[in-house]
Amino acid sequence: MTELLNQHFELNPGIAVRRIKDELFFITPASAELHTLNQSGIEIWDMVQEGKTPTEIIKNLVEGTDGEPDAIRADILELFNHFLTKGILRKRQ
Amino acid sequence: MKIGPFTPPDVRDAILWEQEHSHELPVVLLPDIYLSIAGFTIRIAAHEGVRLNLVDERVLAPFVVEPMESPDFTLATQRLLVPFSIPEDSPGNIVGELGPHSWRIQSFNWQIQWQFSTPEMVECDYFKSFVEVLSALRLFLAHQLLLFGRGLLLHASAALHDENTYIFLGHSGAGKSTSAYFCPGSILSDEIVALVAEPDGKLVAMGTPFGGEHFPCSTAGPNPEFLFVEKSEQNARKSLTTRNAVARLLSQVVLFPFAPLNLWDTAAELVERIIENHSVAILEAKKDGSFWKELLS
Repeated sequence: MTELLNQHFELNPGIAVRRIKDELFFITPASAELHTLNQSGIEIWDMVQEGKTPTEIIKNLVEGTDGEPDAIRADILELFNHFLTKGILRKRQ
Repeated sequence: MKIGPFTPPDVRDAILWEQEHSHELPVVLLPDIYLSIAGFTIRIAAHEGVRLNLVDERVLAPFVVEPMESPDFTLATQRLLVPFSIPEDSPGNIVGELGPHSWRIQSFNWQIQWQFSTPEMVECDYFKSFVEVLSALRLFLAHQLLLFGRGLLLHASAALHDENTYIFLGHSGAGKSTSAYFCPGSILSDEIVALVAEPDGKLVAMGTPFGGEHFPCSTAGPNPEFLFVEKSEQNARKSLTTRNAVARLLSQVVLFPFAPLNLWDTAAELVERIIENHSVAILEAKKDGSFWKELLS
C-alpha cells in the first residue's frame, strides 16, 4: 500500500486517450474496453500527468476541498487500483 | 446480400437458387473492374476474370467507375481450392496483424495482405465466391480509412432525404435496416456505412457494397444525424449522455482489437468530431416506420 501511495505513475503507452466535452476517455484496444473519468476524475488525472504521487494528490485534495481525508484517500486508492488493474496506468520507468 | 423481409423477389429467388445449387447461379466473367468506395479507387484484377452473379453485379453497379491509370489500390485476387484454417475461438472468425510494415487479415474464406513498401498493391486470396473478396475489401478499407485519417466504416444503415442523412445504429435486430427501408428518400446502405471527412473537415456518409439486404447506393449523404434505434410501442427521440454516445459509437466502428493504437486514436478523434458537430440520439421507433413523419417534421 505504502509503495503504491509513493509511486509515480504514467499512462500505459498502449492506451488511447481522448477528452470529449467534459469527460476523459481511455480506450484499451486489447480488450476493446472504454473507461471514462468525469470532471473531478480529470483533475486527479491532470495531477498524475504532472508527476504527482497518490500521496501528493491526496494532500492536494484534502487541502483544496471540504472532503473527509479518509474518504478522499479511499477514493484515490480505488481509482489507482482500477487503473492499474485495467492496464491504463503503469509505474513510471 | 442476404435475404430479409424487403429483399426484392428476383434477388430472393437468386440467393435461394445459389444456396440450393451450390454456386450454379449463372455468372459473368468480367475483366478487371474499377470501383470507387468511401473515397478510395480500387482496381480488382482477377487472374481468371471477376466472377459475378446477377446479385453481386447489382450490388456493385453503383460503385463501378471508368478504368483509370492510377487507382489507389490494385487488388490482385486469386481463387483458392481449400479454405484457410484459423483458430475456432478467433473473435469474429478473423485473425491478423496490422504491423508497421505490412498488414495481413485472414478469415476462413479469404486472406488479404498489404505491404507499406508497395502501397498500391493488395493481394487477396479467396475461397468460393467473389463475395469473399468484398468481405476482405471491407475490412481492408475500414482500416485504410483510419490509417489516413480519412474516415471510418460503421455497422449501420443510412438513408438520405432532402439533403439530410439519417444514420441508424444499434444491435443486431434493433431495426436498422427496417428504419432505412421506410425512408421516403433513398437508402445509402443497410449494413455498412462509410463516414468520410471532406477537405473542409465536414463528415459525409456514403453507401458501401458490403453486405446488407437492400441494394446500396454510392451517393454522398451530407449532414449526417446519428440515431440508435430501439424497438418500441411508441416513437420518441431521447438524448444520450456524452459517455453513452461515445461508447455506443465506438462499438459500431469496424475496427479490430488487434489494430494498432494510432487507428484507435483516429477512431476516437472521429467519434469526437461526430459528437461535437452532429446530432447523436436514441430513436425509439415503432416497427411500421411511422417515426419518419416525426423525424422529418
